Amino acid sequence: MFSKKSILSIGLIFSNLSYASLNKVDELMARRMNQTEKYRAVVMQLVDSGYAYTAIPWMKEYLIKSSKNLDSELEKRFDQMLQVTGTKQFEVLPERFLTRSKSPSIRYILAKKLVKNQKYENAINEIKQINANHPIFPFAMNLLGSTYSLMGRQPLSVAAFKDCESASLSRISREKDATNIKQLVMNKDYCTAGVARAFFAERKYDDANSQYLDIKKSSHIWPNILFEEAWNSYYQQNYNRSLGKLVTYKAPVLNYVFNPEIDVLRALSYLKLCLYDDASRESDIFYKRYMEPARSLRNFLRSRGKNYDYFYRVYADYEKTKRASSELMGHILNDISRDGAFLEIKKGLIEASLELRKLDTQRSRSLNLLKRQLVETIETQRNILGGYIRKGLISKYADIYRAFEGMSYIKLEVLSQKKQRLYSPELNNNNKRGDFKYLQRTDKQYFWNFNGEFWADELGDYVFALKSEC
Amino acid sequence: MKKFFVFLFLLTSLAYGQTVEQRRQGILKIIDQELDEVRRLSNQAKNNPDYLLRTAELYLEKARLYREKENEEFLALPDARRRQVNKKDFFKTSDSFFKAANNTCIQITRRFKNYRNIGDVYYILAYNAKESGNDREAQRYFALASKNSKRGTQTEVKSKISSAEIFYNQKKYAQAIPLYESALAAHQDRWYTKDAFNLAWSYFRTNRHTQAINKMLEVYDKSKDNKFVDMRGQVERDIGLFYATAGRVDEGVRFYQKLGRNFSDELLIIASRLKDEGQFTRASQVLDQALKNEKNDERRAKIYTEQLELFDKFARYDSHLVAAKNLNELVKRKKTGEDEKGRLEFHAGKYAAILQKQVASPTYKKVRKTLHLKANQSIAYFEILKDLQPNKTDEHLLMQGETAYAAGLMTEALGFYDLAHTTASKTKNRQVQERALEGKLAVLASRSTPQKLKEDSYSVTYEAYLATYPVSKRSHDIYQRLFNVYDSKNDMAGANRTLERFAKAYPQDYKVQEAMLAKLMEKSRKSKNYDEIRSYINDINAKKYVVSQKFANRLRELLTTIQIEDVQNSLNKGDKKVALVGYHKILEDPHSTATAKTNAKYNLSALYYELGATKEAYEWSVAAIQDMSVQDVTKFSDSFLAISSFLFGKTQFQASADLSLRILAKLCSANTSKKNVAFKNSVYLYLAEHDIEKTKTAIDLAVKCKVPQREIVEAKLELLKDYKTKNMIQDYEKLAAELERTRAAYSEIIVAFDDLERIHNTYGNTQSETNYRNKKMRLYSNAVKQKVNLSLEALDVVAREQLKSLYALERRILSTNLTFPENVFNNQVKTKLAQVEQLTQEASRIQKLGSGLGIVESYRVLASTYKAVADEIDAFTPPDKSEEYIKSFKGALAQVSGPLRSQSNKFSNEGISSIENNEILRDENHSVYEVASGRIAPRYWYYQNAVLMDRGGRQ
Repeated sequence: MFSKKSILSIGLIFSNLSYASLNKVDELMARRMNQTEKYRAVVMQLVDSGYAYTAIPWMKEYLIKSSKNLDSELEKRFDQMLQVTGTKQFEVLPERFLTRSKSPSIRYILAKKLVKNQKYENAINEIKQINANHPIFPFAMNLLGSTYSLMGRQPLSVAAFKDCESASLSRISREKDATNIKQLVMNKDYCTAGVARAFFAERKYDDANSQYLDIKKSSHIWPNILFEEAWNSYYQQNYNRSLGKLVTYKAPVLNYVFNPEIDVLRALSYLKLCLYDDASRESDIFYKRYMEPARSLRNFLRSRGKNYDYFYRVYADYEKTKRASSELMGHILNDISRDGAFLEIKKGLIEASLELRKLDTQRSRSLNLLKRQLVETIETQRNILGGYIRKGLISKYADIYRAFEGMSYIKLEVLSQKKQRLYSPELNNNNKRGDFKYLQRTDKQYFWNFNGEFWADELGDYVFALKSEC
Repeated sequence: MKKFFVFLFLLTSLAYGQTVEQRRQGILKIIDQELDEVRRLSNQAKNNPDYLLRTAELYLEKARLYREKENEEFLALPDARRRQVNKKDFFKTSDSFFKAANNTCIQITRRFKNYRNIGDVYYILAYNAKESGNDREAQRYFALASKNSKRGTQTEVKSKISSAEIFYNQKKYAQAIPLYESALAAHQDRWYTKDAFNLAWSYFRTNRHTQAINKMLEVYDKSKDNKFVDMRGQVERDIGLFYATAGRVDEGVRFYQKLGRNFSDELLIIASRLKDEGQFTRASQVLDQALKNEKNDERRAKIYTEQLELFDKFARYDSHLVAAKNLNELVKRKKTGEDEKGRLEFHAGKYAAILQKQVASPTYKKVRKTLHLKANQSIAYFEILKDLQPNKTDEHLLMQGETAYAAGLMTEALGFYDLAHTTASKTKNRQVQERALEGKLAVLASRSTPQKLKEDSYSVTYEAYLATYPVSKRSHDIYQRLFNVYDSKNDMAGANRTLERFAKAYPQDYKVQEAMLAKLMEKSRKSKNYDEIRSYINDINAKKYVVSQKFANRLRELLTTIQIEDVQNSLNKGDKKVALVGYHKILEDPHSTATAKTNAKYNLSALYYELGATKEAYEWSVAAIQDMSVQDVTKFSDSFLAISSFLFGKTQFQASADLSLRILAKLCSANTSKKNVAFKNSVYLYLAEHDIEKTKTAIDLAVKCKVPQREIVEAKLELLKDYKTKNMIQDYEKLAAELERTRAAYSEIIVAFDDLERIHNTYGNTQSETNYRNKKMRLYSNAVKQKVNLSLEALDVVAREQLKSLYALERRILSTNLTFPENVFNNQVKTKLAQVEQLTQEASRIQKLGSGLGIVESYRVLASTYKAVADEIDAFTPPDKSEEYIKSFKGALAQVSGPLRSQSNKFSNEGISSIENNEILRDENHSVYEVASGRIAPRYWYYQNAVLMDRGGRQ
């Protein structure tokens, strides 16, 4: 788990990697040659020497300056580089520079940007040109499945996700790097979830349910998928199961999860069971709990604008002290910090810092230049991290906002139903609501008490036994 | 998450149960919570009109709940309290929320002009306007709601439907139709059938019958589907009307046949409903169609019965009667149930009575045409009743008679009464018999009954009545009418018979018997059947007929009149002798009445007057006046006065005076001027005859008979003169004293008192003399005060009295002689001159009396006294004085005596002028001439052959 680590404690990590000498870099720098050629040569040399992060600015410069497509040698190095640094650093580049590369990694980056810009067909074209043997392929398939899903072409989406699953499994078997394996496993689980989501989108809730079951509870993504399962149960009109899934989030082990929609779905499930008081209470509790903190969060986000560094430092402080300006902020930061993408960015930042240390141990005429370039990269990475935090906060605030709205609608629906019963008292006589005992029950009768011991095996398998009062 | 705008169309009211208030409060509480929630949402998204719209909806809902509550409370108030309540104040809570809803909606329309749900906003505004009864505003907003809503949305459809409903309720069906059509074409919810039903009605109202029927059938078919409101009941209820109105009866029959129902029955139900809704024409049309369609008599009877109810409700008398007649035909053919028969009986009875009452009321009295129409209708209803109630035929006939009578249809009335009487006689219904007879009598008594009819019916009717009721209150009158009928027909036998029957039935009623007898006797008299008259008189005497004494006398007079008539005829022919004999016969006839005799006496006096027989004329006049009433004497007073004058002319003074006195005595109490004439004729004749006693008698009678005072005083003054002439001093004194206070007699009484003064002086009765002198002067003073003009004689009397003082002054002036010495002389002259001045003043005072004597004597005394004083001054010569002194003395005194002398001349000339100008004829005139001329003037001179006469013309 990432929480055991700290960005500021990277100095304690010892690297066994051996790096090539920077002398060749000095030579290249001293050589009289075309500027782009020089960039190309430096990139290749730095990658070969194990300075992938240091090579990032040179690679970016090359992509910007050069009007040529990448040659195979450079493509090879660029791929190697991306496998270490991830794609984030290059995602900020404009498309026109990225198209110069035929690298599957660049295509992947390009496809992501195209998807972001809703250019799905273009994105699919890019993805389809990625070699199945390339390490990025499983991830590309994941992106393809998602793209089809966004396009509403669910069968193609399912096929792509299934390709993703098999490609991921195939890749895992060949992969030796633990981090990469972890990413591939996660990718595979996401694709499994993607299949389930496609079924869900096609309203094949039973198929979706089976598919969701394929995701192991030990999976990194399972806590979030649990919520989707709850929605699926909801649409299966199995509200008790839905509530059972949602109650899992009350397990201490999952208390980091921050998803306001969980509360909304819970209230909605009560509503469907005509347990209006419960639905209403959920709404009230939610408002009570989040109204003021949400307002503070909104003010905070407004006051800080796009000061990514500030958000980076906020997170750094939180990580260091485990304290935030509010409980909500802490909760959100905690949740974000477990996000895969966040972990990847953070990992890149750590590794870049390690690389900077490593540079310090080297002797080279270009050292200062290289260090300066690497620091810039680190700063960019920090900004990316800060930006991710900000985006996460905004996203969670938006979730809360939507949840407020949802809760209000639920509350209004509850009130409307209550009112309708007063308007039409004959509805009350048509008593489908169950026995008196159900009206008299208390929270303890059906809510799990998580204060005590927790059986991990049962997580996500709870089913409530509430009788509908409709 | 689903949106909540569907709410708007789900508003329901709290019309249920005992816990309404609790539930209402519960709902209000929930609405408040909803409002809080929506506000919370609204705070999060400030520019979201959805939330404002939702707020408006909630306000509207709240307003409706409060309005419902307020309405309940308002209706629960006692009437008196409710009238006092300020409604604005009472409904303020709901009003405030309606306003809040409206304001919120208006806010949306201003701030969010392009709001996607602006149609919903307009819908609320429209709904509010509709709720507040502002249909015009509602229409406008519904149109906006419709225009601003997406096609086919609930808002658009509902707006059009609502708008159409407003038009529909306003009976603007043509405007409602396109809206319904458009809305229903776009949307079919469960209310489709209900709205389509309204559309069908709209078609129907605009005479688009085919479309109306088609739409109804569509509604009917759709209503079979559970998805729609079941309107089959309403369709089944109304489609019959549509078919009937469209003339598509066969289709209507088929429609109801499929349902196993009879079309006529349905049409009857429809007609009944239309009737209840006040739609007469349609109901009538429906029943007409039902009649066209229906061949079955029993059902036709039902339709006719419904027509009766319909026409009854809308007071269509003509149609009602037709329906009643039709139904009656079916009843007669025994084609109806008891119910229909009963209804007909009820209606016929009701309408017969209503129409009869109208006929009898004064409303239509002057509208003969309408009156006769209504009478005939009423009679027709009674005719139906006769069919329905044969055991009461006589009563209905009687009612028909009564109705005809009230309408003035006398011929018909008599016929009905006759039939009623005949029928009632058979059924022995005495009450109807009686009333029928009375009705017949009333017909005969009516002025509007044709004379011919009356004449043909009188005797029969009256005889019938009297046969039934020989003695009754009404019979009393009927006998008389019957008598008159016979009388008018000159059927004396019938009249006699009627008299006899009456006398038998009412032996004590002498007045009627008298009247009948009078008529009969008059007939006898005209026919000169005096034996018949005597026969009646004998019957009366034999007590066969009872009459009053007065009537008996009149009968006798009748005989006298008969006699007088002959005498009068002779007189008219100028045969006075025969007339005189006739009158004398009357006077001698023991059967003659007093009046006849009186008449005879008067006529005799007149006849003798005309014949110039003074004695007879006087005697019969006296006799007639004695017998005649005051009125008759007044009436014939001119004749009597003429006879009196005739007697005077014939020198029969005593007879004339006596007759006049008798006339006065007879007219004493009457208010006529003739008695004054009679008095004057009488009294002056007696005065001329110097018949003092008779004169006094006449005057006394005049006083008693209130003859005007003026006439009496005049007579008394004449009498006064006679007393003086006849030297009846005591009577003279007494009468003068009596007239002392009578203004008109002042002059004569002053003279009389002067006479009496002189008489008493003659007898040396000083006290009485003084007394009368004082009285005459006092009377003069009174006359002056009362401005009574006095006679010259009376003025002379007064002047004479006043001249006494003038004479005394004159004597005093002349008695003093002038003496010397000078100062004494001067004083004496001075005194004389002062006395002369005093004399002048006194003379002036006397002259103002206006008495000839006073004027003449005063001038004479003034002229002679002035002259005498002048002469004395001129004649005086101072003794023992020198001539010069004397000359001077004389010269000086000539200046005193000269003016005196000229003044003396002036007075004497003035005196002569006054005598001549005022034509004063006095013995004393000559004295003035004497003074003036200094010669003795002659005292009397007469014209040749002049004769002195008294008042009687005697010498």
